[in-house]
Amino acid sequence: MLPDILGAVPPGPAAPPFTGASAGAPGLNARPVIDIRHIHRIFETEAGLAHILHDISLTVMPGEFLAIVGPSGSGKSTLMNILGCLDTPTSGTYLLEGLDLAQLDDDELAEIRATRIGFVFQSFNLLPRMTVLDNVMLPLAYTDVARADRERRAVHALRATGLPVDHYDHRTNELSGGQMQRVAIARALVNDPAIILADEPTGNLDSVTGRMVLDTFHTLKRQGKTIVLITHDADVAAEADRRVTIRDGRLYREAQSAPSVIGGNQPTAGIPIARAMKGDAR
Amino acid sequence: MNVRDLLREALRALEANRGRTLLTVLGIVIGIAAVIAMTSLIGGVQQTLLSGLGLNAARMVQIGTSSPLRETDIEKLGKLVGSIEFIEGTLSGFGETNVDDRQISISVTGTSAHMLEMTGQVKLTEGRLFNAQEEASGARVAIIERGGVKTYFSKPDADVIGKQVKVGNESYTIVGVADAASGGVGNDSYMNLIMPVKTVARGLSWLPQGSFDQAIAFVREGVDVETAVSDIKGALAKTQRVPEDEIDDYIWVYSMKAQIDSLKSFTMAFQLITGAVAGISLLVGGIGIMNMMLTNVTERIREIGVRRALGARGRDITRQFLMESIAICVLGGIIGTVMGYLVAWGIAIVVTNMGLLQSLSANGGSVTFAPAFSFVTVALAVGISVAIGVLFGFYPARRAARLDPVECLRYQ
Repeated sequence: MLPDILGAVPPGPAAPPFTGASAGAPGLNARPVIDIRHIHRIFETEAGLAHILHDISLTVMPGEFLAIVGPSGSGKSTLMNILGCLDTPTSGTYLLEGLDLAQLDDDELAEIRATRIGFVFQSFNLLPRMTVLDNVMLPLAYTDVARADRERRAVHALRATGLPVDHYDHRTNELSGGQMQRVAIARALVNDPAIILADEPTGNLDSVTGRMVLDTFHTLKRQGKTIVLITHDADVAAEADRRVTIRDGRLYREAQSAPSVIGGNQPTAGIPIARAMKGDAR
Repeated sequence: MNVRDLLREALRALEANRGRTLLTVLGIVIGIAAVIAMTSLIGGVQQTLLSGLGLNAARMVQIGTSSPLRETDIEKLGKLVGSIEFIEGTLSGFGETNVDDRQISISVTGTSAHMLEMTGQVKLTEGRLFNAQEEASGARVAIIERGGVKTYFSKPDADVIGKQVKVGNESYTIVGVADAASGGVGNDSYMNLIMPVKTVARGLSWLPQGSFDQAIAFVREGVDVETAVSDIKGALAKTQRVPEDEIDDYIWVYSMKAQIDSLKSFTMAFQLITGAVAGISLLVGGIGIMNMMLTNVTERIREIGVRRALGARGRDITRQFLMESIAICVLGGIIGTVMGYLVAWGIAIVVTNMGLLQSLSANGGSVTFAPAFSFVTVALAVGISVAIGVLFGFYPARRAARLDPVECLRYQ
């Protein structure tokens, strides 16, 4: 049973935790970009076992803008780490574009991160000794894209974020917070990923630059990009098409602006990693 | 990530911590410079000693017997032993003279111009060797050693060609001045002269006419010197009727090759020992690298997390940090090699000017020497640098690669 994350469900703590299958949007047969089922994440600590994620199931469709909202300590970062292939669940299934990630080793997961996932962090995480262009090209260095092509793609990604061209050769510590986040978004876009994972992308920004960053996400969404935004800020979450709440490691459904999720019964057979990376699954 | 990207990233990272990088490079520079300086200096001493032995020293054999060698013995040896290319007797003599109330002892070597050319032990700086007529007639001519010029004429740079030098009651005309290597040192009361054999035989040697102190033979190129030595011993034993079990009591045949080999093995051992001692500073430099790289890893934990999030595999992180330590070592190796040779040259100049190696000369002459330059040593230094980079950089690099990306991203 997959959780039903569709439908008008009152937001807030009163909403029941997801434990079952979602009811898919009728007529939509596209394969989900993210399809996680019954995920648990348990950490071993000195104090004993810490059960951080409880039976999480979630489906994200191509072109969707989803917000995962939750307070500090709710497990949203752990969820993001799993979604971003930086961590693996203790149990449960994670299919990324139909590919079962449990079957992949560390190197293959790194390849997935390099080619299918774009990260946008709260603190930007740009490398200060590099120029803007070099920062954006960095993910491509871990692929077999030729250097000349890397630069072309980096410029393309930077243009998409609206950063002025004369800033491309600046060091990142010469930029404002908003500009840095645009560079980070460009870096997330440069590999043309299946999904952009943004962790509190406006957390370190003032309201004006935060607004600009959110506008950038809307633009990307209009271009068909799939975005998962993780935030504790309800106003920021409200920008998304759909919101889910995570609290005490459990996922609660909230309202969505459009029924765009189908649930549960997607094919679970993995597709070859190379095909998946080449966008075969998009 | 390809090697070019790794190198660019490594240089950028090292440049970002310029002060720390320079200090770490300095550790390697000192280590490599010490190794290069020590090995090149000892190599230089070896070359100097070998060149002091003469041009054809490797195929030179000295022959002596308990009784003086006669001219006929030497001629027979030349005929009996086919591997001998050239053989000639030499004679030594002794005399005294008084100059300005000083008594000077004079050691005289009797030999031929051809022998002097073959051995290369005489380096003429002025004048000429003896001509055939002077040798045949036993003319009163002499080659004086530079030190002797000072001893006899009180001025080391005096123009002495054509001047007379007195030994006992006879005067000899100086036809040439030789550099140090041939004639031994000169001091206020002692000097060396070189004269034709017949000149020495006429009154300066106690040996009867037609006898020699020893013979010097050169074996043909490509012939095994030790075999020739054995052949010469056998032939001499036959001509002098020495029983086989007494050969070593009456005949001595000494190859310079054995001396060269023992000299080479001695300097090689010395080189290894000093190289190993100097290598300790390299070890210290290597530990400095490990320390720096561990600090780098700790400081860049978050960067490691970001790189892992962007798709870097564990081995990409290993290579990145390994490239940084190798870059430091190669840079230190190159600078250290240049510094090592410069230091060696400086020491060589000081040692030469102070005459400190005079006692190491094969025949007591003053010594000019230069550090030995060898591409093998340079390649070895660079190789050692890379090895140190890999050896001491691997642990920090591996540690960086094994970090949990999630923990890295959380690191403040």
